[in-house]
Amino acid sequence: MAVVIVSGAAGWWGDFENAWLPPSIGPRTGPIDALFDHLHMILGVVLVITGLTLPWALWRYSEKSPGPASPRRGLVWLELVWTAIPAGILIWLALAQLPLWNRNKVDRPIEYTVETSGERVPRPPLARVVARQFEWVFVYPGDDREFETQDDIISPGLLVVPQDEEVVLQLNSQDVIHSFNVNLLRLKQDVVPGLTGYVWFTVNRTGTWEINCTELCGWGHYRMRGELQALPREEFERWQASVFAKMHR
Amino acid sequence: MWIRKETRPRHRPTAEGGGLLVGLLAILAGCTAEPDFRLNAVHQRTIEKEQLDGEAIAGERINEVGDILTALFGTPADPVFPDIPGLDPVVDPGNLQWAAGPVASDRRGLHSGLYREHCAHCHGVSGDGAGPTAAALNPYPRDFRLGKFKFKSTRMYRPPTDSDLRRILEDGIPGTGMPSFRLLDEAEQDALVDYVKYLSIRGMVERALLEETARLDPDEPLLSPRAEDPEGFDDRLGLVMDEVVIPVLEKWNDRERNVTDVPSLPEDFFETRKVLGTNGRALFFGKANCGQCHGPTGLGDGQTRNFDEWTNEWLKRAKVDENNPLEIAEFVELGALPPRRLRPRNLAHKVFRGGGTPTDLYRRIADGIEGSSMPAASGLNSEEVWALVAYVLEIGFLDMEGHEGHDH
Repeated sequence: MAVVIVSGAAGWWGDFENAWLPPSIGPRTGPIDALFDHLHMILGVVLVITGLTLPWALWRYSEKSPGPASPRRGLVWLELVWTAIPAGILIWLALAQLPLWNRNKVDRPIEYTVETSGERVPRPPLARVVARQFEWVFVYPGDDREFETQDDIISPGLLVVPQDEEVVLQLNSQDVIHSFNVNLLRLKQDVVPGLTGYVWFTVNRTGTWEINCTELCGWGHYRMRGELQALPREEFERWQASVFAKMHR
Repeated sequence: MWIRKETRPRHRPTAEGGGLLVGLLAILAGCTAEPDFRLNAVHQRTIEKEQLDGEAIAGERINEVGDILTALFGTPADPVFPDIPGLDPVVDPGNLQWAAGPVASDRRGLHSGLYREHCAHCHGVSGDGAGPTAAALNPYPRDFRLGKFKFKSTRMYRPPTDSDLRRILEDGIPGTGMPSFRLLDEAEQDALVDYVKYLSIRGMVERALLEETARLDPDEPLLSPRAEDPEGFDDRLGLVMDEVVIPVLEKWNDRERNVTDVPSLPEDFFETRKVLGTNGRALFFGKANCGQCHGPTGLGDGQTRNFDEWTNEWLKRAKVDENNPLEIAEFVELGALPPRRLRPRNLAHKVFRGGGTPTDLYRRIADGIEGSSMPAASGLNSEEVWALVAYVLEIGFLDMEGHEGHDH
């Protein structure tokens, strides 16, 4: 109900586009938004039922009402029903979203398959995201495609990706737990010190958007932002070359 | 549903409740109270110990220092900057006002109070490098008040240029707690650069005034009263200008002139790096003697007994016994951070605080790093410095793979 009121009010103020989920800059956000919509619908029903029942009960059993309420105990069938329905919903959600989860969190894109052995070689990361209090640093492996070598390209605060390509990022933290979040891609992944994580996404337009940290990581958490910029492939390569040149003079 | 009727005592405010309320109000007041610049008590105690056998400088003299500083530089919410005809205007007064004061933003989303929003948490309101987070960081945040900066394009003992400071904001300092402030727009960065210079100059003047005070007889007012009216504060302020402020400002004057020229990178530097690096290696362990600190393998495991100049400034000058925790504690209580020894850089990590480009490394080698034990390589010609740069880059290359026990 609150959602309806808030979105209605926002619509009233002429900002209806931003009243619901934020816009999308990637081709793969649709199913995630659909999942959100399902959750909102289910929770909306629950919200309406509980939101009506509570004031009704307050009114019905207030001191002014005639006679005391009659307690009922041991209604096993009722307790079973109100346990089974939410459990069923949760189990259904857990199972129904599995393909989506795998697509976004488990099945890292495959670069190629070795024909002889059938081995599937995962796509190497375009860049390494180094999270630290309180900034994002992006390290590109350079021509040799290996990190921590002389031709690494280091870009504090600015992540540039080629447009319309599914890119993989490697996530590392230098200190505490951070969380790499790009709202417009519906992308969020904890960055845990000592672990290496991967995320993958496609941006299907050019522009610059915000990256933020969504894990309270210290006093400067609020200022832990970065920029995500998508460029056509040639411009992306020109950008890489320009940073490389800047680092080697 | 069932309801049990109970008679409960009516709630009355208790003494504890009242105390809690007062406490909360006090916290709120604390949040809104305007902070003031903190006196450089560490430096005061240092010169007391160094020049006055530990005897305290009279309270009136210290108050006088405070009055003069407020008259010259204003307060954290309302900074002013002395305008001396004939000298570069080192800072823009509008920028100072923008960067100073409490954090706020207007309807357009324009932020003010930039220094407190972005810097004060580590560098402190006074720029003493001892903000609330400072003790948790290694290395400690920079104390601006000595007027020393490490990573710059100017010669040793010369203040940095604006673009040097801008670059630190833009890139951060890898390997330290200093992050990049790239997302601030240029005007905001400029305002912060001006505010850092302001704090630095204010700190330098404060130190000079404290030293001046120590030379006075206990009841003599600050600076000998040569003016017609010895009681006249403004006249004496004029003297302070001449004798203390102008010499400090002159150091910041015309900084571009002190930028060291870096000969352009040899065309074939990257192709011939291996050969160059062999020459560099010979220099590293020979003539340039880098191995003494950076260690026989460049892993930063050479001598590590030194402190940086920010620490030596009180530790050595006040002749504090570094092994005596009580003597250290006296200064820590006054606002110093517990001393830590300098660690020569592990060159195999390839994390270069002042930037990892060949030009950056050239500057670090040729000009040294002010405030640390890294000296300027005055006896080397430019070819030799380039050879050392090549070797330093090679070390990282060679040892990252084979050497065990590094941090990665």
